[in-house]
Amino acid sequence: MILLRCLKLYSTLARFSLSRTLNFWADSVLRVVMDVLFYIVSLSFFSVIYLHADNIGGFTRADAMVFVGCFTLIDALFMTFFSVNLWGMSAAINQGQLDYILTKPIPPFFLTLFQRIEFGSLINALMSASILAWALTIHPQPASWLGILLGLSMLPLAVWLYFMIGVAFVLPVFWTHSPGGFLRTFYSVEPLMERPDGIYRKGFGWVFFTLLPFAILASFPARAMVGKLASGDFFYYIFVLIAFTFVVARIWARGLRIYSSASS
Amino acid sequence: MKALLAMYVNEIKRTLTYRVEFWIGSILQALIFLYSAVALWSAVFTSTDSAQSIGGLSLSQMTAYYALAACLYYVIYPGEMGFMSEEIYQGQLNRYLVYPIPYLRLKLSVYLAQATLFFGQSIVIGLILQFGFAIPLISSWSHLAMGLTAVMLACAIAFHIVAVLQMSAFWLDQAWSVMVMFYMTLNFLGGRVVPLTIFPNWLRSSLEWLPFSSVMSFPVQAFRGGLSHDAFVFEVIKGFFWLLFFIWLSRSVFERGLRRYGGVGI
Repeated sequence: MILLRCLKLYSTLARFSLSRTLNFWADSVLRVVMDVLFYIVSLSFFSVIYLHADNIGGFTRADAMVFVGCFTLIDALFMTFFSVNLWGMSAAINQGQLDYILTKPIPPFFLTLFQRIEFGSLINALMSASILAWALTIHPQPASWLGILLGLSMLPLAVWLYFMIGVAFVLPVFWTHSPGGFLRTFYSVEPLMERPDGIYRKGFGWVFFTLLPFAILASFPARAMVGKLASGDFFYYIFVLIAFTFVVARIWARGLRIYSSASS
Repeated sequence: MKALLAMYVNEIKRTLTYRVEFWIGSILQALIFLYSAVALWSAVFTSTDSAQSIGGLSLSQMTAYYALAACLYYVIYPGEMGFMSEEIYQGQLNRYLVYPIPYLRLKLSVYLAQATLFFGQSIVIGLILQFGFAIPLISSWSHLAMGLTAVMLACAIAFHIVAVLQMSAFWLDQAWSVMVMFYMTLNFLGGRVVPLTIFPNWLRSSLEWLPFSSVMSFPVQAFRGGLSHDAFVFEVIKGFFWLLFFIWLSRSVFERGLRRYGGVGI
């Protein structure tokens, strides 16, 4: 019943978001241009690096292009469905806007995290999907269709995991009351996702496979698509996803208990 | 001058209100950036067994380069400039217009306060890296003097570039995407993500003329002693040229922007 109500509400919120996107179309155009630049920079970066090496962290040049397709697609989907909600979350907690959400007959976690969709970024998702398709086409030895399907099915999971990590960085705002929680830190750590996981397998790199699993976000789906994913890695991916969702939900519940409503 | 000093002190106090965020945020960011870069280049050097250096840098020199880039980035781009576009967009600029001090000068004092704090923090991080992790960041007093000159010039240029971009809020609904585009370009073409010497020669010679290298690659190279005397003088002259250009541009954009400013809330 609650799920049905949530879905109905989500479709209404999506309509509002679409109307907002159409009203602020210039902002959406700029977002598209910004992401195009991001794709150019990412592809150029790996092109420059691979002038000096054939294999980095287990990824050949062709693998790296698939990897770029994966992390740009994850980023574009994240920008579409979650990024704006993540930015607004700390303000909602700090400035008391959460009061309004708490009075609604809908789970506050859902309403806080799914309020807006940036439809403009869907264009970027299409472009990054094209990069991924191009990279798979030019790859000399891509995985079987099953491997590619496995990799593709991991991408939505990666978007959710990415979002949950982001939320985990914002939630301390319940206790610190700082303007943005540790969101700035999140965006500084997040570029770790844009490098192959093989480079983090030494020293304290294990942190980026477990506590801050940025290393696995795009690398594991890319590995699946080029036939380099170890058998247990997929299950590990699912385990990390569930664990993160569970921990974030617990922290949210604890945060709500001490929420003191800044506006009243 | 007194008012500007008061703004400067106020900004320092405001930033230090959230000490945990200030220290954890910046130090963690610097260390993670450094870790990621060193991990990547270690993998590249491992892949090319025979290579002693890439782009003229050995792995230890590469580590020093990225350590300096990590330390200096937040001095040059403290991150508080974002309020300028917000102030224009939400009409908070109104109150500054009645102040007896030019708006850009007020913002410069805020920027300098941030840069000072981050510079202090960079010294702490730099000392930890130099003595705790044996990463040779600065090898002589002359390199230190050259580096400080370069960083002051870079801060002046960076402030005016960011001001111009922030003032795009006079015409656009939001300026953040313009800023993100700028930071992406700066990081890649300015030498933060990849040293400019790594680029192919034909591209590198073009990149060295752009303002991006003056605000990132130049201070890093000056501190680590990667510039000859002549190259340093050339970079300073080039930097001054860009500084004058961006001072002129920021003033022109502000004057033009004010003409179409609606002043929400008046």
